[in-house]
Amino acid sequence: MFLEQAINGITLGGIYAIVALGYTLVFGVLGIINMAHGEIFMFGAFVGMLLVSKAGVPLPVAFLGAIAAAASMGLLLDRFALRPLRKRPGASHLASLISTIGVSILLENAAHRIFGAGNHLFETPFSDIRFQAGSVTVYLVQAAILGISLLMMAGLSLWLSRTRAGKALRATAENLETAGLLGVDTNRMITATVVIASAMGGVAGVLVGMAFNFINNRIGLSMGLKGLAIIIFGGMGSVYGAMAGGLILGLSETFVVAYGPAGYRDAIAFVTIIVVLLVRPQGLFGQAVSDGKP
Amino acid sequence: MLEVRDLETYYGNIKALKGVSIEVPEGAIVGILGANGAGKTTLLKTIAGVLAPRAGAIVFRGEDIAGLPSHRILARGVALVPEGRAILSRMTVRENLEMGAFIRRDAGIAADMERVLRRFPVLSGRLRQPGGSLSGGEQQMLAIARALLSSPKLLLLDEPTLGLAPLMVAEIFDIIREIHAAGTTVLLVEQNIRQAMKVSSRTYVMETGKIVMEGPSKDLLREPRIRAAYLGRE
Repeated sequence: MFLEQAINGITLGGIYAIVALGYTLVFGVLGIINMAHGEIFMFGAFVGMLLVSKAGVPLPVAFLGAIAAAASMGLLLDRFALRPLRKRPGASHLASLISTIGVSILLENAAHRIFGAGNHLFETPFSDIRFQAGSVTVYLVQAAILGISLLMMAGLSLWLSRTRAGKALRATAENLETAGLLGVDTNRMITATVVIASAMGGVAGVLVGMAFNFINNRIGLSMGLKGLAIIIFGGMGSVYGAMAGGLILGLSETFVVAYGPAGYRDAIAFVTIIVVLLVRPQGLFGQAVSDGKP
Repeated sequence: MLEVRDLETYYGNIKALKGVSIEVPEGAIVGILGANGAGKTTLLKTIAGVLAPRAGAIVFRGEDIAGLPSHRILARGVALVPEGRAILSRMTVRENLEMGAFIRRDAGIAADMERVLRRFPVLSGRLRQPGGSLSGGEQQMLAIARALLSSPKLLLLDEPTLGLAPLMVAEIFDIIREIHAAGTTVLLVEQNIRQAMKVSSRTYVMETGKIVMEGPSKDLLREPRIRAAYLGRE
């Protein structure tokens, strides 16, 4: 029982971590929360659902489709909602925050119009396959979710720490002006970051479909709020904070449902934030702001 | 090499540069001095593309680079070491240096990295430390080393000795001489006016966004107005 719950928790936490990484990457380079990220994630889930359940293509193809759809939405978001505001000298960076809220409302309503308000079944072809190890049952779907999220986290860490482009992204996140002086095309870097974050959101959408077997047009909001909770918990803009925060939230939610009052499941995230902010206001992995830059 | 003509830069509606013209010949060290708020930093930032001018021209090796974004200007060979050094404090010293060579794709990067580390041995022992853990003088060396790794033709230095101990100040001026001897042209904004005027061949004096005086540094050193305003009585 305990081991099974731990596996459930880690699986859920892996998905949370991928969603939170999308927020934290964009926060790093733009200094704002991308409020449209949850809705891009939701569209990724729907594209995955259409491909798997309606078109009957293999799961990897559904992932590619969701990645392509979410990445293009990220590109459009940056081109039409963020970039025009960047070029204006004197525009508050809150303007782009409001702009992403607008996009999020637009996307949620578009999803309502296209897909309706009901639940859609997300059928994973191998959802019944499971393994038994002693008293512990593990579903192949869980293993796949865990494998994919760990792979994405490891890939992102390696990319950020080892590659030229990853280092340029970190430089841009730390100081836009300095990165520009070192030769980084910061505008392009920001676009690339929004696209990569959105693509990760698309992957997370398919993972959620696999994990819960159904999706609707409101998952963007609930997952979005949890993603926000995690990056506040882990430290704004911190990649490792998003990963650790996601896993901690997934585990604590699962255990509360298993051993405590299940109705408080969604409150866990926010209770955790309040406690963390009281004890460590910069978040688990965050750095105290001293230079006036978030 | 660099010719700035009638440059005007604004912060919002505030005119920070009111028609500045300077010339930096190839192979020279040119100094800019002036009180705080005179527009020296604004001038360097405009040349480096951090700020966009509203009027005027910045001609570098025959091409007007005014208004280009900073990464394009760096690619043409103009590197700025900004005031306050702008070290990437969360990235390691090695990563800071690697970012210095970001725009280069040639095979000489590794050799240049070794040369820079030989010149700045204090950095080579700290390659894995975060840039933010270095002392002020070490950060200044890192900032200069990083800028050199882009192989600039023109190096803009904004108050490189600000806040440093006297020994470190002397060391930085030695480094500036070496950079110059190795063939890089230098435009230097400094508060250590006497030393800056000794190392530079030509000096411009700025006041409230304008050039108010210019000439060969050794002549200006004897100029009574300069002595009274900037060097104090002896």
